[in-house]
Amino acid sequence: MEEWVFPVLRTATPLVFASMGGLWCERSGVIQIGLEGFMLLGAFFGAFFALALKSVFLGFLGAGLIGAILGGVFGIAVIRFRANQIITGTAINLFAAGLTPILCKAVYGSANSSARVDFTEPLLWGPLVAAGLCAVVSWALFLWTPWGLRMRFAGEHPEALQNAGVSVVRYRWMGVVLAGVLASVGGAMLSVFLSSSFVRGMSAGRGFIALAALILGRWNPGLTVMGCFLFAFTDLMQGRLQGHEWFGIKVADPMVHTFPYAVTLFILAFVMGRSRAPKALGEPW
Amino acid sequence: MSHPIVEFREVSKSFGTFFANKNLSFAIDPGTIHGLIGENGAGKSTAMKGLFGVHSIDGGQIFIRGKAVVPQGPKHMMGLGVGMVHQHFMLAGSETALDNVIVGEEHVGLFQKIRRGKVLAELQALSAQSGIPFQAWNTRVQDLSVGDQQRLEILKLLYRGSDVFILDEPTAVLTPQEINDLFATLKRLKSAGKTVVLITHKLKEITEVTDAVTVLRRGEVVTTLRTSETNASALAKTMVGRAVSFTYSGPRTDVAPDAKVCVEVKNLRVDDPFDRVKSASFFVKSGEILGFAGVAGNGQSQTFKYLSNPSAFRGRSSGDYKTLEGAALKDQTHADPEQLRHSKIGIAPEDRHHEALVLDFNMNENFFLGQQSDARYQKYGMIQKSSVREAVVRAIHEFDIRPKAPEHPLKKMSGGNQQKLVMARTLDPAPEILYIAQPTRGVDVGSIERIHAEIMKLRNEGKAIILLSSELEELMDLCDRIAVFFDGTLMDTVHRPDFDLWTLGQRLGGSQ
Ligand SMILES: Nc1ncnc2c1ncn2[C@@H]1O[C@H](COP(=O)(O)OP(=O)(O)OP(=O)(O)O)[C@@H](O)[C@H]1O
Ligand SMILES: [Mg+2]
Repeated sequence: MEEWVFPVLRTATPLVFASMGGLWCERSGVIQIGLEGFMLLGAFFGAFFALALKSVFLGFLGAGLIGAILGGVFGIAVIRFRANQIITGTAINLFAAGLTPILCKAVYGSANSSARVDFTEPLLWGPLVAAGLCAVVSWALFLWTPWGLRMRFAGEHPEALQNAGVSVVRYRWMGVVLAGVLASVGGAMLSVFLSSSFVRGMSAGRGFIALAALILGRWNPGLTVMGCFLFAFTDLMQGRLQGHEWFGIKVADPMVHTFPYAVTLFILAFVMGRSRAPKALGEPW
Repeated sequence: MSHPIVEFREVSKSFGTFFANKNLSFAIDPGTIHGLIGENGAGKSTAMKGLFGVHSIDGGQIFIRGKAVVPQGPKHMMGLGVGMVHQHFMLAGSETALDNVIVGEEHVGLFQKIRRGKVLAELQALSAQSGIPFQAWNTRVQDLSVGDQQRLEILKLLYRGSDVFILDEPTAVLTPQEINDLFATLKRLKSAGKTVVLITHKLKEITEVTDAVTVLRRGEVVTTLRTSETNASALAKTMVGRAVSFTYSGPRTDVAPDAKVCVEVKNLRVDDPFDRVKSASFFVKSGEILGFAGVAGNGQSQTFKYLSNPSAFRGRSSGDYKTLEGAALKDQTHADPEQLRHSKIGIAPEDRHHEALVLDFNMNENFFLGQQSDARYQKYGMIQKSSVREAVVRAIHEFDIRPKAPEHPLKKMSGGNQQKLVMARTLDPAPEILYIAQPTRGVDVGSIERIHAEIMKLRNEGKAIILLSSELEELMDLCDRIAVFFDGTLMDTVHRPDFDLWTLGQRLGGSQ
């Protein structure tokens, strides 16, 4: 138990944040394929602010702020100018992959990693509690509050929401900005919580895995968190399987590396058909 | 005499250079059911969308309870007690009925807990008090019947304090039973002092429930009448500008004794969780019309869908399905629509918006749909736009489709005109066998007359026709035989001399 539960929870924290961001964005009707980019930028800026301001907490806060700005940029493109949401999301991903090494080189002299965040005790419970809160609050908002209900309608039947006198655009804006903030904070978890420096490309597909968790969780907060745990588990498995011998055959590490992604593909291929996206997902308003 | 609750004074609305409403003036008295009729494209929906604030009006004034208002949007008009039930319901399918009522009117802070229990109690009281039955508050809307969804929409408006209920063609998609229920609901609203505006093409409904009726023609008001002082044929005449006969009175040639069987289906079974066909056997000869009748969900629609595209039912259907091609019957149990076209079968599907048309495309493009392998419209894989356009111009002429612009996008056309385009496409190139579903749904009386005449002409020319319709009168008017579906089974085929509205109705309900 000890050996698995705590590590799974740790590994899941970035995923939980990112997927909750994706949840709100997509439930409001905007496809969010840029989680990966937000995470990567969050990972860099989390480390950057933590180092610059000598505070891990301010690191997370700074990452969230940058995420809000980027979410805003995304929103201007897809909401204000009704740009294609998938292409804009992809642009965010490419932008992040290109920008972070440049910034890293400019600030820390190396494109591959930042300085170490080593001026505090390793974080233990804080981020876990924060991720738990993020999930529980999302779930409560989703089920019980007018805000959550309106978000759901924005993605399901925006016309009905508009007819009820609520601005669809406003709720979609909240969705995209939340995605930016939460995914960036999730990214900062990677550099500041799960390790102690920013490393080039360190999001390593986790944004997409968060998206997979969302689809697997049928766009519901509770199930989505379960999805995050599942993927965190496979990620850990992958780490622990490395170097193992199977019936006397040693599987090459690169093969083992593919394990979480293979599981993602496998599960999506099987579950996708039954999972139903918000009806107006991807339709500009 | 009290103030009218709604009054239009010289209201105009144009789209580009085209006037959809021209100087409309009419008044609606409180506590009445007011009918609004007119041909397809006459501007009924446009006028009501103007009143509800869906779009702005260009000129004139709208008065609510004697006060001039400039509608700012649905929210504004809802605040003034005007509510609209759109033809496509404003309900989110994945949410519960209750949440669909609550959204936007939660009465608690944005981040506070919604008091669902309290709202539910209020709604139940409202439902009881208004006599509009509804129980399934915690069911998702997608699992409700169309009739239930409509009642939910009305209760939603009632809950939000509407005094005026605008219903745009509410009966078009309802079964006869559901229509009765709806009218009961409308009468209850009226006795509670509410006002109802009812748009419909069925003049029988106008004479049955309304107190007054306004007739529009080409964007203008022809007249406003008391319903008690008029009748269906007078209304039709005012609407269309000529006398309209509600039943087909043209020639009806006898089916030749040696007429060939053109469609033959034996022991058809189709598996489906919602609409199963347990057993259906029938045939259609050249020069006759076989009607499919049934209450929704009894297999007639599914049978029609199967006939239109058996390839989509692979693995969950069984039985024989043959059609006449040349001199011999050809097996069609694996055919797709393309192959059916090659066998000279023309198909007009049931759901215009989902199965027949792409609303974002224009008339030319929609006409071309499904004809992509036709050598007249395609050469070396390139669309021959000019010949498509010519065909569309011909169709516009022949079927009196409005507006007369082939480049007009379908979504900006009235429903009836969309239907006419579907009919025109089905008849091109001239098929030998026709499957036609709901040909007159949402179509005005004048056009119905024309479409019926067209179908009869095809019959008299010796085509074999299957006609699916939810209007028993339509089937009785046109068909030679009517196949009665009940509980997934084709129970019986009734011949024309034995047609009788009452007995047919009974049979559809399952009694022998
Ligand atoms: N958004 C729009 N842009 C351009 N033209 C439009 C638009 N909406 C409607 N029209 C045109 O205005 C005319 C009136 O349309 P409207 O929908 O009011 O007709 P209707 O009386 O409701 O007809 P139906 O009985 O077929 O529903 C039609 O000719 C239609 O093509
Ligand atoms: Mg209309």
